[in-house]
Amino acid sequence: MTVAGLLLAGFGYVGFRLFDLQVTRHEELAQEASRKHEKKIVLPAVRGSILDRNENQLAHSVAAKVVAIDPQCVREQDLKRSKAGRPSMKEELAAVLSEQLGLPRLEIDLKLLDSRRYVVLKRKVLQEETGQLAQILRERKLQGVIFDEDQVRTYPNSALMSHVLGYVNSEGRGMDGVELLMQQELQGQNGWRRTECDRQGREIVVFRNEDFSPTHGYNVMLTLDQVIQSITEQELDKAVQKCLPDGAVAIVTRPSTGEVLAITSRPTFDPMAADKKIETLRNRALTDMIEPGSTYKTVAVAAALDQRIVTLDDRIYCENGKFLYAGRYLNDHEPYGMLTVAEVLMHSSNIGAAKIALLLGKERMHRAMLDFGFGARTFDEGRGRGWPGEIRGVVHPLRDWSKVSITRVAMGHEVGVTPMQMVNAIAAIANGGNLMRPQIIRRVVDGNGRVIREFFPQVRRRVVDPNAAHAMTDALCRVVSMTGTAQKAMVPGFSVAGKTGTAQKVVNGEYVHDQFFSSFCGYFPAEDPALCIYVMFDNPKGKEYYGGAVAAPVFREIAIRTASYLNLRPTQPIVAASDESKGLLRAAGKRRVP
Amino acid sequence: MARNRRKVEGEVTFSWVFARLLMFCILVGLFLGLTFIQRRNLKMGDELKMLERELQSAREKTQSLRSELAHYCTPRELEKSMARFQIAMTRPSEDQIRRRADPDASESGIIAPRLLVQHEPVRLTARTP
Repeated sequence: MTVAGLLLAGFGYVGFRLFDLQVTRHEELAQEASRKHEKKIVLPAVRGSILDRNENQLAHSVAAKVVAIDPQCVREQDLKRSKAGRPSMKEELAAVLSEQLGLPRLEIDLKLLDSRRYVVLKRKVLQEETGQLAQILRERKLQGVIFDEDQVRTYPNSALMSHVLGYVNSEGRGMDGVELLMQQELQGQNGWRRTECDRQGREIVVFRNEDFSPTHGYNVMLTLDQVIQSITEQELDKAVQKCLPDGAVAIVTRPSTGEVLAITSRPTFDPMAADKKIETLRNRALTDMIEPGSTYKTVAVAAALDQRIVTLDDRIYCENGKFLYAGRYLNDHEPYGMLTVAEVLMHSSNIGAAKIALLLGKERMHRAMLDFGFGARTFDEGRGRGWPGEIRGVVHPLRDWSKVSITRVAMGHEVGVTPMQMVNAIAAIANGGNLMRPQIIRRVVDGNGRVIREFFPQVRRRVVDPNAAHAMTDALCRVVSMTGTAQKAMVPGFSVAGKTGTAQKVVNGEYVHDQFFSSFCGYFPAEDPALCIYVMFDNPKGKEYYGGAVAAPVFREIAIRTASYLNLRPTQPIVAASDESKGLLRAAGKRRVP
Repeated sequence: MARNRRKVEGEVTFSWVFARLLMFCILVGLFLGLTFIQRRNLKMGDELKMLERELQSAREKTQSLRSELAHYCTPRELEKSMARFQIAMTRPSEDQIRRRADPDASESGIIAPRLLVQHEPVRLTARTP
């Protein structure tokens, strides 16, 4: 009886225990078991590439590894070794890791003391380095090092185009430029795999439950051309070395479509560098506001021609260089008497431009400024989407204009513009009067080349009629002539239209006489413009500071090399180009040009 | 009555042995089959894993080669190569310029003066050392 009772009690206990484990604590224990054996592996999506208009890679991701250690595993192995009377593994492992990863020994020693089972040593280690490290670890039978998937963003051109491309942070997220603007398209969607592992943490493939492949990021093709960009940057850099400005910008666009072929901003940065100076990150073409100076006279004259208030041959009295209006004097750099409207642009007369604006009237002048796209973001796509950091510039509302404002605005003062706005406005005159939306993104394609999204040239609005635009081109061609202010912008074989600009800088709310924004914006061939180029220097040092002397030669060099690269057909006979250019430079060197 | 009941010993007949033997064989067969399938699954899993690793490695290699190609296609590298092989971009001399009539000229045969020159802007000229 006693035995039977004990047996019964024993079976009863086993039954109770079984019930407890299988029913009462089922959920908890099942979770515990799955936690120990089940594993969710993230399959990272590869970030898409950024390509130029000829499908050259400008930014792409390459596979890399995160190197981590499991300090507990190292300790366990050490214990086994000490029992077997073998030397410690920790010392040897730390020495190998320090040497291969280039990390300080102390840092590795500290991380080996950590109580966690996963401590990152270094991220974004390239395949070659990890391959070598893995081989050494295998040979020396060192355990406890974990290699996880990672990616490193590479920019083959280094700093070229860096302000357009932007950069990514340590998590691979776009932080500026196209990387930020197209983050959604570029990033892709990670996949995952739910599976079971053995005691060593190795996957048992037959127990895979879920397996979702990653969707890799799309490739983004730009309108930019890396060769034109390289030409632009080289020429700008040469000039920057000579005149040592605080900053410089050069933009190349196609006036007919609004496509941007090159954008350069100085100072610049390397997107792959870990320590980027904050002041170099700014894309001055879009984030800096300048008073444009005389380049802005094109707006006043184009609006007056469009409204048929003046013609190119109308004569304006330029007061011999000193004009009193609303109690304030306005000066010209040289005294002029009677000038035609075309000559006002050719000689860049402030008084002439002011008088044309007065004929136009402040309402129409203000309207023209807004129509040409000033005071609005050029890349604004609505709903807050636009180019990261782009500013609107400043066009004061009419109610804030003083009596003299109209005379100052006409010559590019009392107005704040971005270089992109300026080149876009001049491009509108070049293409016959249509203000285009600047285009940097051409299309989004997937890994197989299938077009996902395509962007087409867009006309924002017509700002002047074609006749006025052609008349403006005619006048601007005279600026880029032996008698105009931009002789140094002349390009052999092509007729060039353009306008120089030299504006005093405002420092602490006052105009200073020794700091300038020197710029030139032009397009060629004038008959059928293929390219519109804008060059601007912020505070160039040295004797030469006029736009015609500092910025126009850069325009010329960019134009010559780009025309060769694009194989543009010359529109004028080329007569001994080199001699002509020498003569031009000699002639230009003798004159001070605004 | 119970005393008169005759104790009947279970007879081991051939069919009884055969049935049990068959059952045993089936069970062993099933066990071996399952073991075989499991081993095969594990082997296939390992093969799959190996193929996945190879695919991953091939992808990484492709990425790396693409990266290398992109590096060689940069204007900076092309310029370096041109300098190394002493290839220079030069403007054409007068005898290298072909002049021809403008195809867009008007019916009267007047050639637009601005289009008189058909200019080939740049030629690659190799200078041998």
